[in-house]
Amino acid sequence: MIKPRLAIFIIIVAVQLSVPIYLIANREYVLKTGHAFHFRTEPVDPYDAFRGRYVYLDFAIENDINEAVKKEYGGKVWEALDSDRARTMYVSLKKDARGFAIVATIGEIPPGYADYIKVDVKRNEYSDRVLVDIPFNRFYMDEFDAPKAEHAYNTVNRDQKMEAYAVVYVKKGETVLYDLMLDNMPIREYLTKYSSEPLKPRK
Amino acid sequence: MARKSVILKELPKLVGEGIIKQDAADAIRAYYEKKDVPQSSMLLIAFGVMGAVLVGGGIILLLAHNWDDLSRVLRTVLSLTPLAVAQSLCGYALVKRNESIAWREATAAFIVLSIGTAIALISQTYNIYGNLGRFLLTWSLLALPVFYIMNASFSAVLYLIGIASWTGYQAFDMDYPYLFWPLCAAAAPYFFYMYKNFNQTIRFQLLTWATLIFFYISIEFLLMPWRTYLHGSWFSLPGYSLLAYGAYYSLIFLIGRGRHYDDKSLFSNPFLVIGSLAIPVMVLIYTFESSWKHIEEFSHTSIAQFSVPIWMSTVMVAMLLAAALALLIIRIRQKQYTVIPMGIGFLVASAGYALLNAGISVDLNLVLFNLYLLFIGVFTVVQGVRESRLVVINFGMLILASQIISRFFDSNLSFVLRGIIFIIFGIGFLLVNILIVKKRKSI
Repeated sequence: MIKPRLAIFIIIVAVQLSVPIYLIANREYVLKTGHAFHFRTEPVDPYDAFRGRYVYLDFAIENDINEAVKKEYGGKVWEALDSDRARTMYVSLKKDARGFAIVATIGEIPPGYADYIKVDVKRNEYSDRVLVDIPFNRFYMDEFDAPKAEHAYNTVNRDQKMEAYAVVYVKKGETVLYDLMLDNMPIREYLTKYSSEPLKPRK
Repeated sequence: MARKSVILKELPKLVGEGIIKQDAADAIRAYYEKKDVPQSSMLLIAFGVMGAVLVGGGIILLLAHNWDDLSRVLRTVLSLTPLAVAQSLCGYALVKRNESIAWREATAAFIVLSIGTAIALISQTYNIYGNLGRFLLTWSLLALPVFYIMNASFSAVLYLIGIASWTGYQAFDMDYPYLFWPLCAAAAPYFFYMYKNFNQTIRFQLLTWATLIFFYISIEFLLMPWRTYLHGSWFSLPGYSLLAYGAYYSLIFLIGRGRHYDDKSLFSNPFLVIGSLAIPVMVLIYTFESSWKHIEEFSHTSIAQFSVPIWMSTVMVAMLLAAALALLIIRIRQKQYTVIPMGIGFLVASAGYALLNAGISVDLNLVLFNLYLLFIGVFTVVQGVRESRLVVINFGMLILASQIISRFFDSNLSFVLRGIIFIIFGIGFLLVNILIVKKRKSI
């Protein structure tokens, strides 16, 4: 009885390994063949942010998407969207003069080219803003660095003179959040550089 | 097994005194020694599984530190390592240690935990935005074949936990968990296999406990207030949960009162334990006016737009009620009349639901449920006295005491109603006393 059971077991092992390997391969494929976009970030309300092993990111493009969604449904957002069930929408991207990602088009079906992301939108019960769920809003860090990184992220984002953005590889709706840049430095480098002195806004 | 050693020690004395014959003593010794085999390995299995769970959990915590200094490649390899190790150990157990339940259970549990670890860690490495529902579903589905091939019942329990968590996540996300029944059906053959071949083992009993608790939790999720697809119209189902739980508890109580359970310990009969604890608790909850107000609040919306989730919930409730009714009839035909008081719990629940939907005052339901709870309590005490079982008497007294305390402090009830209920209670107690005294005198 062992022989067929062993064969089945080997198949099970292969299936179990295939899921994580598929996840890895998929992300590596996007990193290799996708296009990198810079998404300008915004400060996160510290009361909303989950303080754990990742930095929660907010993006400026959420405002653009908000406007685009409202335009798409011609002021009938209330009828078109639900407050409980998210609707997936496809946002194709282009770059502005300074190289940051902005919305080109938005729609309920994917566009014919590769530079688009998938977002979940919901109607907000209490305001006329649309709730946009960006699929790359978590940046995982070392458990000791994550709180410091979160603090640095908010400090830089509140500072008018410094720039903060996320580098995201995009291919046909698949996205990989590659790095978080604070003041034109990868966040880990930024933390190393300023770890000796307390973080404060620059003059 | 202290009882066993006492009995075995007494055997020679009993034979010497001529109380029992030698072959009877041998039969008793053989009986206990046969029973002893699974008992001692039980400890080994428990320690094995605990060890696997602790090691698996420790690895999750260690890697969750998210070592930033490691390169992406190294982190990826590390993420897959626990799974590969678990699979190798499991393969070894399958080929070389297939006879050892401890090996099979422990390595299978380790594999199940490692699957979750691998997916979670890769998500961290690549900052993959987590959809918890999909993660739980993938994890559970990958764990499904493990308990079949390893015959590992603890992994089956882990699978049930995974499915229940997924169902809960879907419910709170306002998505009906359509896959719930197929996922249950996928584990059902294993349950029946265990029932057919191992129904005397602690592993099967644990699985049964877990399954009953699993359904208890899942029914709540399946009956979440589903929103219909049309805007502004709600059809919520708290009334359904009264029906569903009434039927579920009655059903498992009636299963637990099967003849083959008569000589079994309470632990080996989770049906009876959960059923007979849950029915009075549920009835007690519905002796509070607020429980009924909660149902009324949601029921005022239109039922016109029946969506698929509501149809599925309706079918589920109807099937539970039908099953409970069928089993009640079977038990009555078997002349097991003592099942009736607890066994009709679902009929009382249905009557309450019907009265509420007919728009009749909630007060009538409160009277009905109070009388029913009183009836269960008194009956349990009487049955305990009749069978001279202190556990049963005390359980009955506990039911009555909880009812009295609840009513005394129930500020939602008017003094008049409370007064009437107390008088009914008092008369009930007096009647019980008279009955007991009469019975004693007749003996």
